Amino acid sequence: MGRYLVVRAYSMALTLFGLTVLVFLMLRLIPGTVVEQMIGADAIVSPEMVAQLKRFFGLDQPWYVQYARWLGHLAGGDLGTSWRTGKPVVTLIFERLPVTIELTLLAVAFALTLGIAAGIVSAVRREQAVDHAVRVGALFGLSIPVFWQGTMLILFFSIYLRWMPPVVWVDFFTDPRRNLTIMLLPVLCLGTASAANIARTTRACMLDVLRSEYIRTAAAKGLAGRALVLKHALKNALIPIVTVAGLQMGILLGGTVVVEEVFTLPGVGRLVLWSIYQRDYPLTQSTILFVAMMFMAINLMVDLLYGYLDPRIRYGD
Amino acid sequence: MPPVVQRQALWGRQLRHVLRSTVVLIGALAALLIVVMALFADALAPRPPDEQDFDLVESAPAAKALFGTDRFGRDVFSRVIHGSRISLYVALVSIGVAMTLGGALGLTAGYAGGAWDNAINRVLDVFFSIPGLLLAVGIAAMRGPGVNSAVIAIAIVYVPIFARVMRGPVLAEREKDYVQAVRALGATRWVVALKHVLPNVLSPFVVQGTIGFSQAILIEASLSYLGLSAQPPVPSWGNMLNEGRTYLETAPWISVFPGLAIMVSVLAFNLIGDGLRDILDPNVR
Amino acid sequence: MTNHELSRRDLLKTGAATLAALAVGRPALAQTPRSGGTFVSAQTTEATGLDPQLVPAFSRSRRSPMMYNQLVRFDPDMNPVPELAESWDVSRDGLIWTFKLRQGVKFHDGQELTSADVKFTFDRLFEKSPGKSDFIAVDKVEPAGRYGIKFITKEPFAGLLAALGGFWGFIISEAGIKKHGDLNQAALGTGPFMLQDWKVEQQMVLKRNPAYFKKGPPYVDEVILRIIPDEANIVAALRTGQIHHAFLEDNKNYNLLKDEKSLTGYRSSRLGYDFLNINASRGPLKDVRVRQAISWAVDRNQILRVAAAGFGRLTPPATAPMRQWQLPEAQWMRYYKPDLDRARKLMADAGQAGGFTVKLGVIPTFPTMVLGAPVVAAQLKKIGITAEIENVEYAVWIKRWLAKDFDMTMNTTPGYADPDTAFFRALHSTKGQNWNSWSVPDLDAMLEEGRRTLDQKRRKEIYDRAQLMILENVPHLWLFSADTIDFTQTLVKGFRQHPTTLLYGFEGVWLDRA
Repeated sequence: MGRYLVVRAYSMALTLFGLTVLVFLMLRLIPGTVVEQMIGADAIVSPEMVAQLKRFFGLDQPWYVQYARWLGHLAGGDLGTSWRTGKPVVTLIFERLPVTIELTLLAVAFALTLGIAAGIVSAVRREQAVDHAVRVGALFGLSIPVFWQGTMLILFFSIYLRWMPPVVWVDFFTDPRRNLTIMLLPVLCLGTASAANIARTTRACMLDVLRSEYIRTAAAKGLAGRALVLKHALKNALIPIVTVAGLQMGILLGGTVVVEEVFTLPGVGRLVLWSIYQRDYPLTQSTILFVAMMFMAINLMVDLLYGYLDPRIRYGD
Repeated sequence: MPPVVQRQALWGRQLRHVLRSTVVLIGALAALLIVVMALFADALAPRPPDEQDFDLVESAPAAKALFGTDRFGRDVFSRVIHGSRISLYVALVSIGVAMTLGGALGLTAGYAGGAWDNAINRVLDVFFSIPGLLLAVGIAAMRGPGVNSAVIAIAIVYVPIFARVMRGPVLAEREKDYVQAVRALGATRWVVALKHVLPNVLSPFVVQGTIGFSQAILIEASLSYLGLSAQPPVPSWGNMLNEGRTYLETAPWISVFPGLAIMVSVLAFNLIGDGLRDILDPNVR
Repeated sequence: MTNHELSRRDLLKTGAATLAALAVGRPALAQTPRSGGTFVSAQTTEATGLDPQLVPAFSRSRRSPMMYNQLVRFDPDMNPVPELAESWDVSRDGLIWTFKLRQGVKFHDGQELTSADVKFTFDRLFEKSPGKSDFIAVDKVEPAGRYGIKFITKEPFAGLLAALGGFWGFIISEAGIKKHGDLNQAALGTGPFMLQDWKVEQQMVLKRNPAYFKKGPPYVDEVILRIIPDEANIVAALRTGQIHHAFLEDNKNYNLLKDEKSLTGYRSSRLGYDFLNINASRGPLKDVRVRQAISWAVDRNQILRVAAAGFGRLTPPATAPMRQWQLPEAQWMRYYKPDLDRARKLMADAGQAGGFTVKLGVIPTFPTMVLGAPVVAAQLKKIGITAEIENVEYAVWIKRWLAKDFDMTMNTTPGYADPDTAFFRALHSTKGQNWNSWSVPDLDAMLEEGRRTLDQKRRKEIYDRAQLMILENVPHLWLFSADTIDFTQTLVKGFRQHPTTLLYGFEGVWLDRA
């Protein structure tokens, strides 16, 4: 186990290093820099002023010098300072992070609850109306574009129900009720596809287990109905479900970028997009790195959980 | 179990087969329809997609304009038809590139193993370290808006995925007796890889391809919606939806129909994917 | 000269009345303002920095009047009125302007405003600000006692008041720079509100300045500027009472809100305008006949209808708020009647009967550009010009704009109060920005003369002629000037939008049942 973690940490470090190169180079390939962004259309600027600004941001240096500087800062635990806002990148990330995390967690919770419940019902009532409804629903859930679902929900709520969620962001600790009202639609949209995926997996696994020998034995021994299904079947179906859920968590983390845009939530995804448009290199670089670390941490946790649930898996080679 | 229930189950299985095939058939028909729409857009669309008509601005769906018109008096129906081109083009090219490149990487990595396998895996890990959609959005935003950016972004997201889907089965297949036997008979590594191993591992790869295709349509639409793929006035479903968003109250048809189009085409390819999986790859469910 | 003096004296006499009128807003709503409460306004775009001398973005200019004052301000009718300067005089040769500062004005840190601060402001501006181009004819700024300041110009400079009351005229304090380095994250001015807290892309909180030098305003205790990037959400927020005020970017939303009982709508004419930039140094566009053909082919009313939902007006080079400089309608409107035959003939005369292809730039985040471009393209198609719409992201657009790397591009400007700042910068072929890479020497001479002429009547004649010459030579097409549309909750009183859309109006705002 310990050895496994060391190996994973080593490979994660390598990956992050590769990522720094990739992100850094990609950013330098974009046309236009923060300097033009700052000057604007209206000003008569002398070349000296442009040169001065470039020097200020270190953009006059060759790329490898800029890269080395950034790495140096990172090594010292410094994510840098955003060019456009003058604030430390860490501060900006931690301002935004709660929104993204809350959105992801709520969506996962929604997807798991709905997905597992629907999957179980569907498996137990196989080939009955409920099952068909769940399966068709799951297919639709997988096919509906997040942003369209968002648009349609807004249309439905605002025009037919004359209800609009608050448009001004409030965080959970200031006003939990208001915060959850704001989160309602985004979570619904973000979680739909995952719920569909989880429902399908749950159904398939449950069917497998239900068909298996020992459940039949258990049935023969007199365990019946709900107790049987929940206690034995679900427990055995849990491993693949957890795997899928873990995968979904990562996908949801990525999906937040679209949902945050559609519902204009002040999360990390929008911060990344904004920073790219603003050519705020330090902000983009470090935020992407940060998200990658989070993502890898989630994957690691899923793997560990997987091992915990299925003792047959041994880490070490 | 009482016999009645058993009979029911049997009947249910038959129904399920019928249902499955019908569902797949519907998917295939819908997909065909969309492909035809894209190929013959000029002939099928009642009006050119960018023709403006200021006597017919934001008018509701009617005989004159089946899906209504937008702020420029452009025919939404014609634009939806033309929009299929962008979706299919981006999905086809990006997934095509990703399958070729990813497949080649996965095959060689799995078959050759060793340092090459290790190197490829390291590089793939970098791409796997960012959530897929964020990666696509980030790449498209950095490259600057445009259809090609969408193609490149989606391809980059999918190359690692296809490489993994190819590599796993190849690894397993490589160790099988028949491969050893053919090698012993003197076949070169490449012949073995391409002629013997590849055909045996193709099924999951093709299934993944179909699913990837439907996902690519979705991602392209997302990118368009965020203004990162096809640029107006060229119609794409995503950018039509985005344009229509500010008319939700007064002219909802501008955003309803392109959204439906996206959903129908994604659904169609998902159905085909499901069907193919059942046929080609009965082990995976 | 006499005219100018006269108008200034008039203004001085009515100065107090003007301020009072400003504070209570429109006369019809005249009631005693109530103090207190928090006023929430929504904005779609965040400011990227606040330093009134380093940040050229309009989002910065718009916020500056909340925290800073200028020596001179342009009132909602675009007349220069005293602000930090009580009065001013011009020397007989027109080279020295002396401003008398208001006494007892306090910066947010409690220090008194003196001529040293004004000198510091302009020294810093000339040293490191892109805004120095507004003051190109100013040689130096010298204190004349504790409360007097002299602007010494290289030549008579009629545009000085406009520059002082413009985007770059905000007075800062030396202590503020010493304390904060630059004023991008902090603010230290004399303005009605003091910056309290700023979360980028979320909200900016400003507190009332209790020591504000004007008697009465500001009335509200706190102003919050919320960033809501999507206008659909702004509309919803107005309806549901979540914000007090918003300024619409897309004028068609007026129709959605105009019947809401809980809201008050404001329509006012804007100093700025939308235009079609033509690069007169490229291919067929070099030929004035081709540019004229473009002008005759374009139906500006149709563009106005699509891009601004018809809320706005066609405009000669001097827009409606620049009243005294506007040409009589009869003289310019005749250039705006679409005439395809004439356009085709001009194309043929220029040897372009077969047409040609150009690129038409659009910044995707500017709604009027996105909406206007396809209409322009469709209209140009009729005379054989294929305009390929090219969406260029803002940062890239600026880079190309500075390098003059475009054929044609949709464009928009907040406008300028004085014809000198407006035309010299845009159209002078060597000393301005020369937006269209063109050269009309006669016009250059005329613009230089206008800059030097302090006599209002003679200036007016010069700019009348200049405008006609501009209309004849078509550097760019003035497409339309959209109305500025604001909505507030009905309990908000005393709001009046400014033709520049700078947020001057917030100091007079009060809440009826706060």
